[in-house]
Amino acid sequence: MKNKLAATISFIVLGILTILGPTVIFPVCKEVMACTYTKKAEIGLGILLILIGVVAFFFEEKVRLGLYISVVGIGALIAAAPLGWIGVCGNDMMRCRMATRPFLVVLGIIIIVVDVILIVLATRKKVESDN
Amino acid sequence: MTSIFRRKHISLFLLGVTTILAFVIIGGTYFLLMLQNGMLGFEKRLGADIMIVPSECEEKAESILLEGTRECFYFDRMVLDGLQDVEGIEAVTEQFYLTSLSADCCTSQVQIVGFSPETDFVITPWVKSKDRNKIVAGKAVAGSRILLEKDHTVKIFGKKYEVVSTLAETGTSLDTSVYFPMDTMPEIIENAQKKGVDFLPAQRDENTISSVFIKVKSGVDEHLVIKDLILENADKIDVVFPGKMFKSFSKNTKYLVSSIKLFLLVIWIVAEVILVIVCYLYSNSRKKEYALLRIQGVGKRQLSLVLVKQMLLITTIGYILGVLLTFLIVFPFGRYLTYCLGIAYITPGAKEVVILLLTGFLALEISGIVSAIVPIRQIGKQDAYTVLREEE
Repeated sequence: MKNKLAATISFIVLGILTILGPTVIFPVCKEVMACTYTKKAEIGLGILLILIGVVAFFFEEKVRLGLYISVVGIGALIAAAPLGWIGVCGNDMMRCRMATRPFLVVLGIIIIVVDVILIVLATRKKVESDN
Repeated sequence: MTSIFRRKHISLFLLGVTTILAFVIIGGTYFLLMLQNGMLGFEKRLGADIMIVPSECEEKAESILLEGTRECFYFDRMVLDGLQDVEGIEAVTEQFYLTSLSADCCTSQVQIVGFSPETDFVITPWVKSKDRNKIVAGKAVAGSRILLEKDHTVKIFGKKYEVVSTLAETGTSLDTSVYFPMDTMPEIIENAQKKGVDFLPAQRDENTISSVFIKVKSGVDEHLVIKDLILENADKIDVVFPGKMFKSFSKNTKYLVSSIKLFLLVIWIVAEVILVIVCYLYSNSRKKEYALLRIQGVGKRQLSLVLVKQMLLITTIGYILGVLLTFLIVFPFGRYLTYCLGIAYITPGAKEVVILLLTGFLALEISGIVSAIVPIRQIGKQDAYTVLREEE
């Protein structure tokens, strides 16, 4: 129960941060440029992460483990969007490149690390219960 | 060796302190290096003693030099007339500023600067001597932060221009500018207009320039040299003295650097004191255990070594965690922080970072050894039998 709640809260908080990153904390450029599309993708990924967090709370161990595994991919996409996948503006002096990009990359890495810890905990628990 | 980890709370506390210490030392020093490198780069590249800009543009010119903002202002090149002949002036050159759009038409948003290679003394000295002759119409010189295409060109308003040379990093707007000979500017404006970009009439006029840079002969007072020019054009021009501006900028930066150094020192001392106290309390709580070990034949030296090894292990793990935190927070956001502070900065090179990481590691290990000294002396002074009797 403890781990389940911790996972749901973590995913919701990290999902909200993914949405707020390119929109409120370090907003991307106002003109329509590569960073605009990155922002759109991040909002989508953030919503997905929140949904997974909520859904995982109501399902059994096996389903939850599957959902946790899918979050590794979401974390990777969150980090990849401002890099090679979609990108941000080319100018080194622009906020989207100086702040939004590192923020999203670091956030993606944190999501993956948190998720791997949750997977390990869930797997260990499953092995214990199987025994 | 693992005995310290049996006491979870103490080891976690020590780990927390060493992690914070490593983060503050490495992250703080990295930030310091950025500021100091920026100051040096800016000083090296000042070039001109006097900068003349259109009236009421003094602040804009200063922010161009210091903060890297993009500003465009124009006045008639008539200001240049006769300046070359003024006594005390060594060299005069002019520049023209234009900002590109950050769209498909251009590699990225850049400040386009037109300059005269024949008279220039601001940019050309930083171009390799073998490349200086190559700066002709249609060729460009790029700042260090300009992203070039694979074929070493820069795309401006749909046209690719060969980049003759890339300048070293300065931490100022010079890094995000592309420099073209003045003859190329009409072509760039024409291409931009074809792309649907509107320009001010002043930008289209070939007789307009944005700034005039003046280098005075050594020993000559800058104010006296341009006294007549100011009197004649009082309502048309503003004068900026980059040298004086640098003095005030470097004063502010030096103040910030000293404050950070003091902060780092205070943090280090506080962390060291905490480590010593916790280490002392830890060894004190195990007094009886140590006394028993000594009665069983374990020497003082061996016991001391165990304590030192434990502290070294804690500081090493703390160092690794501190470095990870620095990689997650300071390395990615350091540039944005200095940008928000409006200070010229240059990111330290790989060599500097490696030296910083090694020095940080040494500093942490020394802290660990120092914190173990007090308990070691205590072990040395204590008589095993007395300790055991005290405990009874």
